[in-house]
Amino acid sequence: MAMKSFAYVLPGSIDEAAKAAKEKGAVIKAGGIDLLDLMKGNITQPERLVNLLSITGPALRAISSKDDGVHIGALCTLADLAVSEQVPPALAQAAGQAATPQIRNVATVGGNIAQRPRCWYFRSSTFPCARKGGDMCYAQKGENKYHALFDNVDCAVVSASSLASPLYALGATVVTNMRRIAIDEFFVPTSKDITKETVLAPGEIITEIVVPAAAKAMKTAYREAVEKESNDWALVSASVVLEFDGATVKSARVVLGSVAAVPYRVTAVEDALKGQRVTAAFAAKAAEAAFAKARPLDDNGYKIALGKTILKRAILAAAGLPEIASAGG
Amino acid sequence: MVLNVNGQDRKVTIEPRVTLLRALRNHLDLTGAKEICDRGGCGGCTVLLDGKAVNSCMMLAVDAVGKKVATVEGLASGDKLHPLQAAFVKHDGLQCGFCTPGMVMACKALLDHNKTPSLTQIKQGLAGNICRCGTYTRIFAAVQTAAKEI
Amino acid sequence: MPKLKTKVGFRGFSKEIEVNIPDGEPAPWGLDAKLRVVGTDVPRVDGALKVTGRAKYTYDQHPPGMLWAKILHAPWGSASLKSLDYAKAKSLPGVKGVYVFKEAGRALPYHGDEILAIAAESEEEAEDAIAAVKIEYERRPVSTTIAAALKPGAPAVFEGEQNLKPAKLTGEQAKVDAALKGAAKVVEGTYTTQIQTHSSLEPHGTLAMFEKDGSLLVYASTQSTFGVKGDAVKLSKLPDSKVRVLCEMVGGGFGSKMHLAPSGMAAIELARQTKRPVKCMVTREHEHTTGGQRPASVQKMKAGVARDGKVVAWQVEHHGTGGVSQGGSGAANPTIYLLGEKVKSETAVFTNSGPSTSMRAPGHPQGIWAMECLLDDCAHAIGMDPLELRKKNNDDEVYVAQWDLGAQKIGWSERRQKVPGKLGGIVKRGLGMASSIWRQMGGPGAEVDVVIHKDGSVEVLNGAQDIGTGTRTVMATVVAEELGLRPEKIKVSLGDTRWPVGPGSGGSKTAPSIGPASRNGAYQAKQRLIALAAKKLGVDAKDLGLEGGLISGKGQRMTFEEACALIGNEPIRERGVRGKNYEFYKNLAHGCQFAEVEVDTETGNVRVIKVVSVQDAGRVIDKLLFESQMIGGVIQGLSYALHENHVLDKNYGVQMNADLNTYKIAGPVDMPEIVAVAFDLANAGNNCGMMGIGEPANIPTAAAIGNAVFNATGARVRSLPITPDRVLAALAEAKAAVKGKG
Repeated sequence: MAMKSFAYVLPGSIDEAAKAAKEKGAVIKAGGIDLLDLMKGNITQPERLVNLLSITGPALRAISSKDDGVHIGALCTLADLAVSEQVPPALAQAAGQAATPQIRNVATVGGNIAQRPRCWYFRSSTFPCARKGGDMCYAQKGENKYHALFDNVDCAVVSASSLASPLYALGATVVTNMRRIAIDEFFVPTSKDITKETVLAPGEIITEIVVPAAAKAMKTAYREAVEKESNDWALVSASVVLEFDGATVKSARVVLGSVAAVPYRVTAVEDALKGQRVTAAFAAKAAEAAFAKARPLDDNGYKIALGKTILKRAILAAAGLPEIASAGG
Repeated sequence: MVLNVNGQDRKVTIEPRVTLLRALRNHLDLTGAKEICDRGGCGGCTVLLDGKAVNSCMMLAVDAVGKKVATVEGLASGDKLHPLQAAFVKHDGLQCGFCTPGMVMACKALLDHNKTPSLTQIKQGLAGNICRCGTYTRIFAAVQTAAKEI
Repeated sequence: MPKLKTKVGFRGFSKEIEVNIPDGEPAPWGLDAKLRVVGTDVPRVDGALKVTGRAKYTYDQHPPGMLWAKILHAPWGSASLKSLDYAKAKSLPGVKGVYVFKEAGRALPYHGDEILAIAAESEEEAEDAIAAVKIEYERRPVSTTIAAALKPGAPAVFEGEQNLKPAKLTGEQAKVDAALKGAAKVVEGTYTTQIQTHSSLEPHGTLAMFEKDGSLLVYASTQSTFGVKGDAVKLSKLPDSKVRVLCEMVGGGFGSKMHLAPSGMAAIELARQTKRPVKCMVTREHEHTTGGQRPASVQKMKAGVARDGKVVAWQVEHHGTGGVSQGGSGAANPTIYLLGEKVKSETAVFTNSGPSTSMRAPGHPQGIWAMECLLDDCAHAIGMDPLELRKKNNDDEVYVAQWDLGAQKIGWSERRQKVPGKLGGIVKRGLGMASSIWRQMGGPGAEVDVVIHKDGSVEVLNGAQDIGTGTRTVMATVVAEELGLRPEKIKVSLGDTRWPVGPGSGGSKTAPSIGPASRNGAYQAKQRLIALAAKKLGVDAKDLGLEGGLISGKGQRMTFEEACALIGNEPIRERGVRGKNYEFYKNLAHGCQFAEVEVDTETGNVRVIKVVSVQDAGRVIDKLLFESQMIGGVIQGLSYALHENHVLDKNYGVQMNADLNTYKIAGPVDMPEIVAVAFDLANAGNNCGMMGIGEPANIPTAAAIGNAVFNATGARVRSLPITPDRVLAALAEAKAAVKGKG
């Protein structure tokens, strides 16, 4: 399969883009990495492509610190984000580990969090799967090694966005041409709507993402497990944001990636961390709680043990402690 | 549309859906860059866009309008190899050669942005490129040599 | 047949053997031969073409008027073609021809099976036309794995046929049973290997065009130009003289490109139909599904070992699947070692997966994986150093010398865990090793023209192909040695069936077939050049030698160029013919690899730190390229060991990861330090004393890594690839076993 013909729209402003995006069969494109993949795979065949890249100027591309936090333009690339000293380490780490250098040079922050999930049944035009409006989830009894552990009854895709989880953990705000959306409200879990992963409406365009100023005082870390170090999607990832009061954790936000269709926040772990001093033993214990509600499929149960380790390490990394106990243990 | 490739403005008449890679290969006869995985997973189509390495298979040609495209064909000056290319030959950083144009351009971008990369930085800088014959360690040596010579 | 004595061996071992060399051939290079070029680092002669992007592969060919062809492939693992309607597709703009592989009613037993091909003016138009074909399938149940295909009542891959052929049995069970009874320890385990796809970066593909005189010109991405020519002659029904196959460059083959593929058939048929050049390249998705694959295996192994480390009994129950083809699904094991009484049953199993083709050392990585892991299990059972145990079962001087060299380079005695898994900590290191064997010396079927021109230039021609192994450079090196020139002075032309015959690049036989033929041609051409010089200098040709660009003897001298100037209007053209192999020191290539790994026991991640590869293939012709082959073999082996896995959906038989993102090939960041030791061996057998190195380099890597993982962790992963989930499971199993005992 390959990309079908489409009309190409080059808007000069967000307003023009929004107007064009409301037309029948229109799809918004930024870096285009995920969109071209979907088009080449015959999962999406837009009639009109609205190219945000034609909107010039720094507004959509800059990273700037303001009173309310760090504003990251939606068209800022992952490569820019990875080397930014203005954003919290967890976010820069996640951006720097995403995909490949070539993709990071093109993929945008907005596109990254609005990308469609990963599942080889969803990405194959052969399978009329539930997320595409079809009859069933083929992963349930199929090849599900890389699939979801949570909210996976009707569909077991996973979020592949490297930035979604750390932004979620940081309590970011997604700003669009229409509204400001708290990140807690931005993602749509499978149980709520199987056909989409974000609340973005037709014609709604992400313009920037704001990481709250409070994040500056937080300790953050992003860790992921992969099968291959060169270009691989995470098997499971963990983003941890800790607010300390002296040596004890005052508040925590903990979000797992690649375990559900959207980033998966684990409040049980956040609660466990609150008011505690972080130690290796305690981090391991806290991480246990994260997977209590996991519903493993035939081949992805290993993600539970793996996820606990990754989460433990992310907690330790955020707390500035050694992630791996030294030899002799 | 007009694409600026290797310093020259080239006119092509193509549909918006044509990727930059296919525009280069099928319409401008620049066949160095290869369509190997067609999904941004192998780096075989790597070209530089305004100095940055990109997968030309995952980019529409129309999006390259107004930017500078550099392909492997523009690297050597006449018969004189670029030091990076010479280092590839010296260290045998190639076998079948099919990944080589993309690999060379990824290395070029790496060295343009970091003149003295460590071995780890070289590996990470090339993480988007696959070589099926298995020449990676030879290529690392070539980059190290080229870094000294450039 | 002149009889002569030649010194063979390697540093630390030599002996003299008598060889009978064919008439007109130069003597093989002995152990003490002083060679100027052979054995040194000679850069690839086509390197500059490849690094500049000027190298033209079949995929890069674009003659005027060329049409693009695309193939429609079966989307399901098993289906019958209920209806096929391409009327609309045919009427689309730009569409010029349709070639139907399978009419309605036909069975499609695997994902990717070819249905039809369409040629159009542009690549996009061809793709649009494929998408416009209306087609109905009747899906059928599938058998996707060996285990599934063997279940009672399993869906038949081919209607009315059994999924498995009768087992091939060798050895006597009773003898093995008796030997097992007498063994100090008996070890057993079921070892499995996955399907690996060749994943050549240039997919299969062909450009076909009919010339005005009706003759057929074919550019093919192939590792056998003459094989493709034979197939094209058969298909086109043209006389042999009217078919010409060209292949300047090939983007990898690894065993998968020995014949005219369906894409080639489509290109030829569509070129005939449209009277235009037609290029048909397979997509990445279907390079995976149809391009060939290394068969999967399930090997149920049992061995008995004596207290002194001698293996006394060896039992293998092997099942292999080559998908819809049953050939070549065996596993090379037992081999290399003596291993006492042996019994083996081998069964080929059909599954709903694309056809297997030969892949780099067919059967070896699979068989060696199971064998070398089980040998480590034997060593562990009796508390012996695994390397020591191997020496007890094979005392060949080459293997022993290579093992000692490899052990020293990896730090075997210092860095290996004396008790596997005993080291504390989360991240553990360990060492492992394994050996390889390959029997291929090349042979007749290769002829090379060596042409010396009046202007001093030298051309070497052969019709076969260089798939990246460095055939061109090997030829240039051998000819340069014989003519006393630098390799870069030699222009080698390959890949045109109008030139002298050459072999298909399979079995690592290209270099050892073409190399000696090149030397014969150069030797004969040299004799003629020397004769010209002798006449001019007024001395006997027998008294003249050619070395370092100078012809000299009896106090007389003349440069190579001066001698060439004596050539008349016709250049000196001599055809070197590859004779039969004669007496040799060794008729096999030996090798071993040592790996050091680091295992994160909490994540199950295996990181290979270092691999030492020691390998001979007779005389090393070009050390640089020889080592490159070794490094490439290690990297492909590492990728097989840790990452690659062809995932077929168990319910529908669809390959889920037919791309290069989820079919995981090791990349730059996954690379260990690789130490390649080219073990130069003065051999005879042919005038270069050479063998091929392509396949053996790939054989033992997975087993060495698997054994290193065991050494680090004390947990045995018996299935490839060794992914984090499997490592975590093996660690949990090992922990449970210890608890069970305690």
